[in-house]
Amino acid sequence: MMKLDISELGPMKRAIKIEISEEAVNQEFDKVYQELKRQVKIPGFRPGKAPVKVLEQRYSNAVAQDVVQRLVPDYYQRAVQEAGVTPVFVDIPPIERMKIERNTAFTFTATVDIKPTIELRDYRPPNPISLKIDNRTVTDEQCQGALETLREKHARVDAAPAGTLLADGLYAVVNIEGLLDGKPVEGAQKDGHLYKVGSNEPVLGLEIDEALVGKQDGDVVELSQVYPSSHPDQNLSGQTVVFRMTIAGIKQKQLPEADDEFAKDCGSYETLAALQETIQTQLEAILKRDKEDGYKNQVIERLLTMHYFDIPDVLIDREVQAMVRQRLMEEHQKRGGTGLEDHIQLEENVKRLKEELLPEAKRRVKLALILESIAEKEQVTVEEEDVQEEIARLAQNLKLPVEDIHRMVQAGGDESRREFRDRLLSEKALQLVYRFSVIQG
Amino acid sequence: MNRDPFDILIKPLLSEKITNLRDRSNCVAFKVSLDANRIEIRRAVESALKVKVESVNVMNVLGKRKRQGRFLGRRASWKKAIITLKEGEKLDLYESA
Repeated sequence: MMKLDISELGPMKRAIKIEISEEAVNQEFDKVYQELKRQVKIPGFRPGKAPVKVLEQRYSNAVAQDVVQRLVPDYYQRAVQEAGVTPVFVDIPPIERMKIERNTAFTFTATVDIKPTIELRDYRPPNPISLKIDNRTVTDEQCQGALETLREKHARVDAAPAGTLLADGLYAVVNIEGLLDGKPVEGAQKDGHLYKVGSNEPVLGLEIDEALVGKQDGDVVELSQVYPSSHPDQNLSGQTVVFRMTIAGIKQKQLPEADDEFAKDCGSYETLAALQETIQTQLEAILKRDKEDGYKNQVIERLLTMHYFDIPDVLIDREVQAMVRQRLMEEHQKRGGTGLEDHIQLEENVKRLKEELLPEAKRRVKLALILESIAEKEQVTVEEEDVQEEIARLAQNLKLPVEDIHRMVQAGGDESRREFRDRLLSEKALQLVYRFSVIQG
Repeated sequence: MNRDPFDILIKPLLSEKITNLRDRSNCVAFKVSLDANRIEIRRAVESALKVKVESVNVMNVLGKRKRQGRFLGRRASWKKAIITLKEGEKLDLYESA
């Protein structure tokens, strides 16, 4: 039926020459003509009654193409199965240019990039991956710090006792008014502005920190500001504007005492101790996750350095392209892009990014291949439950209903569902290696 | 008077009916000039298509009456010739249709 001729073009490139026998070709021709017969109307014949010979004359080109289109993918699939290769990228010469004829065997060549065969190293006992221990623990300072942040969040701003002098960390309520030759300047006015001394935030373009320190409630400070002659407002350019600041009040931040009362305000904690305990466990959980991530990264690094094999260029290219696209999109969003970028600049950008991201892309592809082969060897599979679990987790992280995530995954079609599963599979494989690995302390 | 054979043979006819006929006898069909007779047709076929002719049957086909609103018209009438070839002769009209 089908003859195969596989030749190696490189470590990961194979040319598969596929020959389809004469009978198979003729059969397919007949089939196509039978179908065509029912569809076309030829003058002189009732629909469906035209003899094949007449059809051949009129439609031979189109039919030949149709036959090729039916035969090639089908036979390619079978050939790949028979040849026992897993292609990652296929290059079949354009179907339009293939010539097929009745009563002759048909030959075509598909060039495929195959997955490299990876020789997996040990990661199971007795020869597991050893990891450097991560000795970090949750320190008291960290707990204290978290508590402080909480207090900060619950702080109230209260009036400071009378006679307090302004200093860093205190708040001043200021009324500012800009005067030009004794007359108020439009727009240069602010009442009841709450200003944190020492924050160095300009108010109406003025830096008022220095002027405020040491003053007290009711004081009036005058600052003059020379506007440059290039100032867009003609009335102001080159002029000196005097800003008069009246301190209408001094306030201070009142941190709540760290006591049981405060604990109750923070949620359903009975005592301060309970709150502290919760903080502790939360921090520990974060640290644990962080450690685990660190260990996993170590595992990844080890896996990457342990294995050597050639990676098909196509895979890397694909990854780089995906990464570049993502990066561009992110940048675009960040800038709130106008979408009217310079074309040349964009192209240069793409080129630069490609170079930049190449090593990372290689790493990713390599890791993915390793994990994939581990998963295969260990017969790790992704079950429907795993998918559901992941979806539930995603939903929690993104604070969206589970159904929404479902829909999002479904909306991407088969491709994205497969990607989703692939990712889960790699994660599971990584988890497995991690479980086998030994932490050395 | 020797006319150009292709002035006599206007175009080959290919239809379901004629295809069926061909299955039973070795024949071809042409639309021919209205004023041509059997003898002229036989000569035209033999000289132009290089085959021996057994017999020629001709018929006049009346143009269909066609009406466009209140105007009555008629499609052109024409002459059909069915030419039986001598045994052993072959003419595949499908190759030149």
